[in-house]
Amino acid sequence: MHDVVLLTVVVITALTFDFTNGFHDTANAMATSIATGALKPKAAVALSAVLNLVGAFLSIKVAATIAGGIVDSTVITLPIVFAALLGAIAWNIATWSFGLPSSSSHALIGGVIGATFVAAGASAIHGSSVVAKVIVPAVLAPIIAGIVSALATRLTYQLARPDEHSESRRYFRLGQLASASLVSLAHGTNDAQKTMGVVTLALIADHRLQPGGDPPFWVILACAVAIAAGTYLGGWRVVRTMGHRITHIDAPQGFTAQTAAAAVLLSASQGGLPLSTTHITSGSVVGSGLGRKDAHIQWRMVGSMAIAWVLTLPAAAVVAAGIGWIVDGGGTVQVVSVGVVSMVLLAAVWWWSRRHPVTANNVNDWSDPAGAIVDDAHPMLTERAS
Amino acid sequence: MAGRAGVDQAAEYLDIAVLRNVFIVSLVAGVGLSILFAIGVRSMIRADHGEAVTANRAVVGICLVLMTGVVGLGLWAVLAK
Repeated sequence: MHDVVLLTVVVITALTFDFTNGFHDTANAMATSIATGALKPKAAVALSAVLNLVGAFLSIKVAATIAGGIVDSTVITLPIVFAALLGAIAWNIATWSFGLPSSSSHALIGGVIGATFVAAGASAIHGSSVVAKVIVPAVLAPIIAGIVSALATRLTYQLARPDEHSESRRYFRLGQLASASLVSLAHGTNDAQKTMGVVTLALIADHRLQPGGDPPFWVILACAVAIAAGTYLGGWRVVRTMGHRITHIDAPQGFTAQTAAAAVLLSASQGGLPLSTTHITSGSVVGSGLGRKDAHIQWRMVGSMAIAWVLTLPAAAVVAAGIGWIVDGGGTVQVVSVGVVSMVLLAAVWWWSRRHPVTANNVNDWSDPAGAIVDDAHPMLTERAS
Repeated sequence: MAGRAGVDQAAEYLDIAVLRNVFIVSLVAGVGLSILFAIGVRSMIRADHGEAVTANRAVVGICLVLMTGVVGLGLWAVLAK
């Protein structure tokens, strides 16, 4: 009976992580489309949610779980999985409340490392895999995406001359729908897999599934629905940051940033290079600013994002280690108690965030401190500038 | 010697060949698709302004077909893996 309760708590926690992954990463696909007015905010998150749902069903590569190769998988137990997930959720919520884009995958890896460290010591962590799968990709992803995006933006402005033909922005907004949809689809294909992998791992650890077995349909369905629901809720704070607080995004920039992100994301997936969607899309947005001659980039915000990325793994690891210390070796009672306390804390953070709510109605309400460049897609910015 | 050792150490953490391929494919697809779209938009606007309407619309069509083909190929390559 206790086993069933423990497994149920772990599955619910995994789906909660999936949900936070969805709303935290809404910005990756849709921030630029919302910022340029290519899509209304609610329509953008609805489209992204549907494509994440579809993407989650397109590929079932759970054999390569998120923790594969990073820790000794033989020491993983249900309480460790639980602690790892809570560490990742805590980091996702913390960065969301500050409107900072950060990698949910790296948070999950950090959680796994922290919880495993407490349970089995440093020898159970494969340091070289951490460097190869987390640190090196975290550095490379924004650089590659930034270069591709900057070059694409520069050439697009030279060829289409949108500053001379303002009507061209209408076509670029249409193009944004396609490129943003591609990123959403790729996101669903990649990120829902991680949670499917975690739930599958939990089922194997509880001897309800054979090692190497495919996930049951209910796992695929639940993970797909959770990430889609999170996406539909919309992490508006992060959307505002990606859409307005890095650089002012014009429709052609939005198109090139998303096209570059989709190209890097899909080619990295095909090549087996574990690059984070968040790092790729953030790098693309910065690149689109670098590629446009008169664009202004908020380097202070870029610096804040970089600091958040550096802190992701250790912060999630520390939280997961603390939780792991409480629940490791304990029973269902400890896990359930920690779960209840965590829910209360998450509710408190959500309540605190309501003091300055960012919603679909005010997500584009942001003025560039350096003096916004305004156009028809930004009536609110126009009002503030005037 | 030191340079060789550095390359060996880097190779331990990263498959340089994979990285090179990802970078090249990203560059070709990301920049190529953007260029095709930009050419298509420019031609569309010229056609809207009545300049060589048939030729410009043909360019738009070619760009659209090429872009659809590249995106379709990319998705197929990823999902078929």
